[in-house]
Amino acid sequence: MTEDRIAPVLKTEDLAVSRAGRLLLTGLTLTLEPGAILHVSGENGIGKTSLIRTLAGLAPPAGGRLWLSGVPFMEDPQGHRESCLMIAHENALKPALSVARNLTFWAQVWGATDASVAAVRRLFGLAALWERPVRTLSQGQKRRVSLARLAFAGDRPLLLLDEPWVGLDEAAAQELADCLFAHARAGRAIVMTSHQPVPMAGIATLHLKAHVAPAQEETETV
Amino acid sequence: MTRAFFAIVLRDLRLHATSGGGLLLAPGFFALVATLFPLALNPAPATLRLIAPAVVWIGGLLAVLISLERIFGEDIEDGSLDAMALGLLPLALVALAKALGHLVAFGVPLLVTAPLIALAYQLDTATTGKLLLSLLLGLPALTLIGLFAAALTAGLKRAGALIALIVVPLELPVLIFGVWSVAAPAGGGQTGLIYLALITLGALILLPAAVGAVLRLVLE
Repeated sequence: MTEDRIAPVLKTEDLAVSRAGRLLLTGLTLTLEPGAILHVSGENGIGKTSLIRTLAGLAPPAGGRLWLSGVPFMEDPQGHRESCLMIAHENALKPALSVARNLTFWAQVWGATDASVAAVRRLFGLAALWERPVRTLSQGQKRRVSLARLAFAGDRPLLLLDEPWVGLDEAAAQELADCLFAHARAGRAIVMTSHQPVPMAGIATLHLKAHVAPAQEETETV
Repeated sequence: MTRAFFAIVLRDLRLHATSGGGLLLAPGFFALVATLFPLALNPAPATLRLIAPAVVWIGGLLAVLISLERIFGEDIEDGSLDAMALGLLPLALVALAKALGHLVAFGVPLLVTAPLIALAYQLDTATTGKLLLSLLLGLPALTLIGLFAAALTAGLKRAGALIALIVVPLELPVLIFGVWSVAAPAGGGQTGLIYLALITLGALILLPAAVGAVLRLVLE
């Protein structure tokens, strides 16, 4: 056992997750060491996306505690958010702008290096789409552009992906799996949601089940 | 951080330029409003000169207003705001960058159109100069107040009318001092300009942080 030599990337204790004041998940206790990959599964509406947004620090935990690299979330929320790279279900791409402009924008906003912009061109066959406006791309191609932003991780220790496999063809899915394994080998922890089986062997799966009785739900919107 | 800030400004400018109507939308609307008054009133040239500052300011206010509804809506729907909140900039600076992009995309074309309208209303050069100066000082405040209202209504569908209801009362002081700085008798104009500058300064200090805080709540 080599515990406590490095602080786990992500640690939660009795974490509760809510969306718009409605409690979705409670009692979530997790520890993700560097290199860990966690697949979160569960039916629609169970709170997978809300969990990802809470882990990213976009929504505050509804209860329990959350640490990133040993630092409690409440101590430095902005630092917490800057340490996460999240690829959400929405692609965050502007249809009127080219693939190049969209990706350069995210590189600059996330503080990635120019070298990583050059590197992203080689991912997911984007070189062929590079100057095309995003509105001319198919759903799967847009997803590939959005996922290519993984190359902007820099020194962020935690990657969060919401339904990354939706719309990908077999080759792109394989490339994503390879890419995620490479990030894990580089010492990052990864949490991804998917309601379908994930084409990555040997990773941990957390299956979320509804266990909040309606009577316990908070109805007040804060 | 500077790179991230100007990346947002530039991207918003590009998006404004490529969206329907592009950068001509605001000045076109502005010119349209300014044309309606002489047509409806059929006034003498002296009356025209009298109403010109008010017409230009009301036109400017409306032109800033029409473009605000979607300023955060698209970024929320397509996930951009979430992703920007995980970037290097605090949301207050994201808001300031969006305000600057909006100001350049809509304010600068207004400043270019205003002298043409002044010419059509037969204003003399000195008055036109004062009018431009008042717009230059007042437009940033108009934009920032509008941005605040846009953030408050960001999660709502068809928020345009609601934004107008929130924005117009808040922007009345800007409108009043704006018109006053052009139309006031000798000496009064400068006081109007000073008040405009103070409102813009206050808006610049207070509103980006307020917009950032509202956006944080919207994201939650």
